[in-house]
Amino acid sequence: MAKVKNSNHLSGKEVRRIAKDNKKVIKRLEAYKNRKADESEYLSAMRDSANILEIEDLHSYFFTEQGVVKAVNGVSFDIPKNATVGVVGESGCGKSVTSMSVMRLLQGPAGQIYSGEIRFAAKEKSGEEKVYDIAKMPIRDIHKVRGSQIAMIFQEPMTSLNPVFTIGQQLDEVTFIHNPGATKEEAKAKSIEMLNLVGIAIPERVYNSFPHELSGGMRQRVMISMALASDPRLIIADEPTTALDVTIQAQILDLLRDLKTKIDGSIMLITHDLGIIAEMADYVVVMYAGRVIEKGTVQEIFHNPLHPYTIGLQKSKPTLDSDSDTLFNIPGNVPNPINMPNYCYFKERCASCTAKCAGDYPGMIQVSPTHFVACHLYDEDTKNG
Amino acid sequence: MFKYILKRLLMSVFILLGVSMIIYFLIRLMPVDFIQDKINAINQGGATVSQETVDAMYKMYGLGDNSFLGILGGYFSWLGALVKFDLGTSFVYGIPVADVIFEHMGISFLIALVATVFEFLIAIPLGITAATHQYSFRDYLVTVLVMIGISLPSFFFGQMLKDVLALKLGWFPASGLIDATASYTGVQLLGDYLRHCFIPILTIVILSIGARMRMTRTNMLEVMNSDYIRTARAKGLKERVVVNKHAFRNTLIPMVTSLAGLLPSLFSGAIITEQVFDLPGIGNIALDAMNRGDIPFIMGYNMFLALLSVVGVLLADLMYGIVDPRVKLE
Repeated sequence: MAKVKNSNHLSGKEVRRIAKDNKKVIKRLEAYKNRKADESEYLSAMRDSANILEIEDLHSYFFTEQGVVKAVNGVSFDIPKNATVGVVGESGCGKSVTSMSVMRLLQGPAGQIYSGEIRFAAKEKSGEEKVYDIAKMPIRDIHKVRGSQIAMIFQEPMTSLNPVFTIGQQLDEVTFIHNPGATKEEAKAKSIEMLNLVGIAIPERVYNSFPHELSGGMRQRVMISMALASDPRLIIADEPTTALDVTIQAQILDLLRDLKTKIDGSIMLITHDLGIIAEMADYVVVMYAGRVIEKGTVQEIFHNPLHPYTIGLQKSKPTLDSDSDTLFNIPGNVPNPINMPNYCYFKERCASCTAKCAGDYPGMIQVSPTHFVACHLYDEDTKNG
Repeated sequence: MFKYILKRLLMSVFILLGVSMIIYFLIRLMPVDFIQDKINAINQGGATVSQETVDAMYKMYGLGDNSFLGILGGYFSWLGALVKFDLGTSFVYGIPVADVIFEHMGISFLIALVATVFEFLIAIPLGITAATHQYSFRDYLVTVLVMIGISLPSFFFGQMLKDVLALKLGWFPASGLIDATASYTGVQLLGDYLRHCFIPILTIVILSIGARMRMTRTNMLEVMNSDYIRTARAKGLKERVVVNKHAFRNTLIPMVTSLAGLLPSLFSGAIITEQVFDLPGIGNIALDAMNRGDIPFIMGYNMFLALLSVVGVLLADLMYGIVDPRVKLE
């Protein structure tokens, strides 16, 4: 009797083999993460000095009991100075994991950066630039960039503040980390200034409040002020408005837009909301199943989307002028992240799939100086033939 | 706040009344008869006791009527005396119950206090390190060792330590509280006490670390996975500060719950350990009183613990208001 292979079921033998393999890799990666290293080991150089962050072939994996989840599987994109880059994709496509990798916040031992480079141009106190490869930094040196040069705003303002400390205590802390000589009064003055900057009406009162005494919008403002308190060069905003209602969303987005000019830095904006991207971003990176499938300027992505997935995403956006009663949705599901196929991950859901799509995973094809797409439809020979 | 405490104390009075009634009825229904035991002892001595004397004794001790109303009457006469701060006279010792309790409580309290301090000092750092190094060799080692500690019965482990440390190695006295051959005073006497209490304290500490370490580890793990810890890391805080300030401060919240049970346990005495080391602690005395049907003592001892429990719960609730700003007491 032929047994149907159930891909979700693992035999005891398989489980043990996975655990053994994971243990070996995790041990190596953890040792690498916790090592002591000289700065020269992770100093690097930018490909283009106009960029503040260059991510190259980043692989971030989760080593689970069911197998290795390749949450980020070869992601490359750049963030230019003074630009907002929107990273867009559906839930679970690896956009948050990418940002966590940049911050080195992946929860070990399961979550690890497996390979790749994250080059970041840090500005020293002296004013000169130093390029660090964040992926190679030992975790003990990460404070050189984390918090001070790159700050992050999280998705869940309701739970992202420590419930047992006042807003003031949590804000002052940031000043003390990055300016150890500061007095209590200086820290407080800076915190109040930051609260003012994010448009909090009575900063003195909020300063003395506990997180549970504030609304979600207020908390997100506090989170933003906390990110700003260290004068970062890059702010990573991981779905900053997802947990907020629409009016507050608009206010927070306005705030972020204003801030970019005030801090003279860059923003990496992660969202699944194309409306926000259209409004905020200069460049767009579209991710699908742990890979970048298309990237370009916001005009290119919105006016000339090339990848069938990007086109599908645009179509599934609700509009007022459409006559249809139902929303368009892309048929099918994302493939199982543990056993990714070796052909294009979107093949099973793609309407314009060709014979070539059963072949290798498509490479990045440049269609304009800034526009890249990973799809066989735009291969040189496909177009010619 | 003041109003809240007052309200809670008033409620406590009713709780204690209920508790005392239940305990009194249970003791009276216990199949132990102090008078009968006493008469049996006299009979064994060869003398005979007349029925009138027996009846008179039952009457004198207030145990004559075992009907519901009789017991109820007994309860109210106990309560009446209590109102005048009189816990009655111990059947066994013939002196006021309060004196018996205070005489033997000191040593039990000393042992429990020292043991608890060491328990916290050892278990909490172990719990934190096990949590921050989850699934590492260190975590497994700590977990296995404390599980062994939890699993050992105190009569066995105490006896084992006594055998090794006192009888084989002779480092510590094996039992009792004072060295009968020497007459120490002052600091020397205290030193002698501590020398005698060392093995019992060691036994209690090793057996109790496990539960508290497991609790710390679980709480710590839960906190370490929360969003605000990620925020603290993202700020650029050193891992040490993240763990010891941001995470630990939050694990204190569930830990406060255990304070409620701590207060009575400090005074209740360790019955089995005190037996093993033949210490005249209150646990030992209470077990003896239970076996011999010393009703006034059992009542006094249990009510003392009930009072401490009620106060402990109140203190824990007040502590909640201090460690968790989200809790408002009113």
